[in-house]
Amino acid sequence: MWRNVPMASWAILAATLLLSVIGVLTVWAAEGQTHVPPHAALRQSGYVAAGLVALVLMARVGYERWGQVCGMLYVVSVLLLVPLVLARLVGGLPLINRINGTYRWIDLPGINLQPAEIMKVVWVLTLAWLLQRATRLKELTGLFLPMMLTALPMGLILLQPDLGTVLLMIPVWFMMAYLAGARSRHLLLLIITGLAIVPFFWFRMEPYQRMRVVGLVLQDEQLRARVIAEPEKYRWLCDEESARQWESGAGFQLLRSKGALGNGGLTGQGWGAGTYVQHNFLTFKHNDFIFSIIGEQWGLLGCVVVIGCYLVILLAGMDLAGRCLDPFGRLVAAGLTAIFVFQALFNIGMTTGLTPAKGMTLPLVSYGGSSMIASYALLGLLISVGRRPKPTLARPVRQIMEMPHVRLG
Amino acid sequence: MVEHRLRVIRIILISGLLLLVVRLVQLQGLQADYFQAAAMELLASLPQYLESVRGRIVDRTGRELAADEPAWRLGVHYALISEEEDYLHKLARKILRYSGHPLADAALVAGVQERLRGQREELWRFIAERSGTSPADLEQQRRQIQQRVEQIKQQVELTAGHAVTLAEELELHPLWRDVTAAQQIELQLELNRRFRWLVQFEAVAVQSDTRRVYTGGEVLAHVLGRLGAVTPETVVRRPFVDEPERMDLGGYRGWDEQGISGVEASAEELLRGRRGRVITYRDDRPTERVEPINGSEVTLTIDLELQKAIYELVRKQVAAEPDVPGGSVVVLDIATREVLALVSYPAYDPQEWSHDYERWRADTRHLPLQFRAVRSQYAPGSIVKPATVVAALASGAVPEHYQYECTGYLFPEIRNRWRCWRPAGQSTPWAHGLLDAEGAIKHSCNIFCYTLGQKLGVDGLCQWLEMFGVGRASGIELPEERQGILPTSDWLSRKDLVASPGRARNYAIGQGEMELTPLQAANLCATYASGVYQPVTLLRGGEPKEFWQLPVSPSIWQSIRRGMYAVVNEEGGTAVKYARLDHPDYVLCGKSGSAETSRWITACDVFYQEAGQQRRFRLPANTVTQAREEFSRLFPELKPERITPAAYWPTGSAGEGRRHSHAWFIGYLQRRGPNGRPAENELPCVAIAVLLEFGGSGGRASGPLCRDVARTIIEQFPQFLQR
Repeated sequence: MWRNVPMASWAILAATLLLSVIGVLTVWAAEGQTHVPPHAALRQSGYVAAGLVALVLMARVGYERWGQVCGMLYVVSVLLLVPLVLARLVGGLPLINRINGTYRWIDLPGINLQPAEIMKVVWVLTLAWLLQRATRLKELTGLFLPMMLTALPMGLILLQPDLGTVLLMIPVWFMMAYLAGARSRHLLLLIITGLAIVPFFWFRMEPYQRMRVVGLVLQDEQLRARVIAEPEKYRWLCDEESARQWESGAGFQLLRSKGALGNGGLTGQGWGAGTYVQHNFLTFKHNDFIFSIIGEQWGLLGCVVVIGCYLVILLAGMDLAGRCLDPFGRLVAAGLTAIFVFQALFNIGMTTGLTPAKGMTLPLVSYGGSSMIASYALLGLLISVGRRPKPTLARPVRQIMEMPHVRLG
Repeated sequence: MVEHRLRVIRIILISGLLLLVVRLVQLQGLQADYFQAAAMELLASLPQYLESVRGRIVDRTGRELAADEPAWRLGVHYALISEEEDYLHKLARKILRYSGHPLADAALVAGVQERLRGQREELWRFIAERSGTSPADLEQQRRQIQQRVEQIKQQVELTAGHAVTLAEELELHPLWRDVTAAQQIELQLELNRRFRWLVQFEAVAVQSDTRRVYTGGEVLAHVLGRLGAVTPETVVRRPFVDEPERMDLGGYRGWDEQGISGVEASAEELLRGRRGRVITYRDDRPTERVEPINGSEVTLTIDLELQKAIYELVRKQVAAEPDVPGGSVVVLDIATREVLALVSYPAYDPQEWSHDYERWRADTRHLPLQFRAVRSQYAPGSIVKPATVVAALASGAVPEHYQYECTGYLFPEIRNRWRCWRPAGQSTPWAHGLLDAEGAIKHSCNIFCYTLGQKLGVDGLCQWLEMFGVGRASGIELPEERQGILPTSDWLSRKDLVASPGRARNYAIGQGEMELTPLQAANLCATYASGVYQPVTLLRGGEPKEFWQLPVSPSIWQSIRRGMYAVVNEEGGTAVKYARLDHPDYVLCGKSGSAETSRWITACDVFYQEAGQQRRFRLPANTVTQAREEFSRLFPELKPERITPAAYWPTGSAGEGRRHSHAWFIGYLQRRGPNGRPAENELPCVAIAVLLEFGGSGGRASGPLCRDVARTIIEQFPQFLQR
């Protein structure tokens, strides 16, 4: 069976394992501090092992067979999201606890199940299946059904609330639709429409919600000074008080995160060394903000290695997509790669102050069973796209597909 | 086309990753130095401040009068004091997290918050009970702390131009001071038992503190003054600042104490120390330590033993006089004008302040809180006559050998006014006959002085009296001091009064609007004895003060000093019967004074309407205004209709056709020359002023006291008579 596995898949596996090792080492370094659970590194190793099993399982079953049952999977995943929304409406259900004001986890014995993680993979699979069968993608109205398919889980996830996952799904939807053959001008029209209604929501948002985005802009000390000096002029952006208290309020976590990264310098303070690694100055350092203390321990060098790993997965994933002759497999591969890399982009962007702070893990690195196993499963599915033996055809598939009379799907 | 679209997607994602690398180069490459320095700063602990000890106050020989001793205090977090609900909410969540319920729901938090609210109320009861204050007083104390912090906040925000959070809002404020060592252990144990969570999260704590002990006791109560809670003005004027640029660890924090009266207030800058500060680091950097600086020791010019001896003499004299509610004695060193004794009687026990304050305040007859020596002003009466004589002779208003014949009346045809004085039991005034300056002082002749006052006029007289220090701050380092009244024509016109010749005549004998404090009287006496006006001094080591020689020829001084000698030592002198000091080496020269005055109000009746009926409430007060204020403090909801004086002191009359008078006597001690008379070429040593309120005749009441003081100095304190 191994001969069927292309180089790209091996590259993905190698990058995956390297990221997992970096993750386990960093969680180990952070052990024993507030909010870091006991024996976190050991547990994390267990999650990695479980993840590997999931990876192999997903790869062996193969995306085609998963694709055949994707309708059922979709229904099950949506049903898993429903109790979370219910829990939020009634303020808690058995097995579902409120954590940081959200209802995202189902507390099963042995593992905290995060249905949104499952939904992410299933959604890509289902969307790929639908796009591959859609006949009117070249028309604007043809995009309606794929949008609806996305809107249902998106709405449910938004109600948990988990804005991060939703923000992830939007660009991936556009990419997959683009890849499936939707017209660029239709997609652009949708994007412009979306942007046009942003101000409408902007002024209906609560100030604290606005601060999540504005907080990023306020990183600039000079801008803060200007807001304080001329509060009237900047009323649309934020009020004077939030600018004044940015450092101890909305910007606190970001300042600390950037502080940890900066403290690492070029080569880092060394494993387990550094102010933010050793002391309780940075919360969520073992999960959402793990990248900050990776940066503190191993500096710019370590950060580039981590980003390099994601780059390898990106290139390899796209390579698998490009080589795949099955349009469904191609969409699945590209979609999975995109959602995986986007999550890494968002997370690192958050720790460096480029994207708004949303609860989102760094895939394969952050502490947490649900996220870890889901990431491995996602990559297993991706690898399975490469596993398909090359069919023997008279002429290259590429040429067949581009023939005018051949209709895909 | 698919290939192309895949490439587009790939490029988008790769540029995303590249953007991250660029950002990381910025943070970890370009700004690394800044972030590394910031990380080092994070490792510094919050500064710990070390309290300093307030300086001691000692007398001129080094005897301790006031000192700090170790004590404890019960501090309560400001948010508890101000009953802030948000703080309780946060505390409830902290407690739940600490006890293993990190995900507690709102109902559970609200339950704990409710219990904390109960604990807070219990804490107030507990503190009130243990410290022996009433719950109402404790409540008022809390309101005062809150008001103080809010006032400071207002001021700071006004200058800053935006909202601020003061350190005072995040720290503990003492609700019970002066906890003893034994009490503090029990207190600590009981707090741990009953208010476990409040102690655990530092909402309540027993903190180390100091307690001011006044070993000087009652006799120096007024002089030393006392400490009180710092005023918002002081905090705003000199706040405690711990920032690199404008660091002032000697500044005030909102729960500090400051001197609010007496030497404690005037020497505040010296006595107050400066806090120390410790910063420790979590890495291997050494601890940064700024040692606290204790306050300096302040030395008074007063001699504790002399002060005690005189206080005892005054106490005896006052006890012997039925009408006298209190009095004052001041002793000055004439050469240096150092205050050797500054007695104000009656006084109070400073250690019992919090206990007995209300009782002392209500004693409107004895006024134990009144610092008579520097704060009470009285008409000088005849003790000002030597100055009148000097003014008239030295200014040339009358020739130097001016003589006048006293017939008992200034205007023979107006017999009921401008008369000379008459002694007790005599119905007609003295007719002193032909008098010169010396004789006028010896007999304290009013008529002689009327003529001088008339010649000088109000301003002519006041110009000279000002040189003698009348109406001028004496220079003593006490915030309570009042500077007396010099009724110049300017002053009179401000009061809508006319500088008439009649006023000039009255001022010449020390009656009318003119007023002096006992301390000013003592300095006046020192000026008579030395010919030099010099401000007085209470604190050792101060700046030298400006002084001047009066433009008076020696022969004029000689005549008034001979007069003052005759007052006490020659047959016919006004005080010869009472104040004569029979001593081989020293002679007491002096001048008596009886300053006519009205009686004091000691209580007022307040009439008010309640339930349609007129009611009356009698309360102790010295003025109607004071009664009104006191009444509205006690019963803010009632509105007084009418307030009338209800009781007076003295209760009896002063005798037929007379008015009550305060008894003055000023005197100075001089060495005897070979002929038994004062050695005129030598500077006298000490000046003494005695005042007994409602003592009647100065010579009779105050003279003996002055003599006893002089004798005590000669016998027990000869060091003050040596040059």
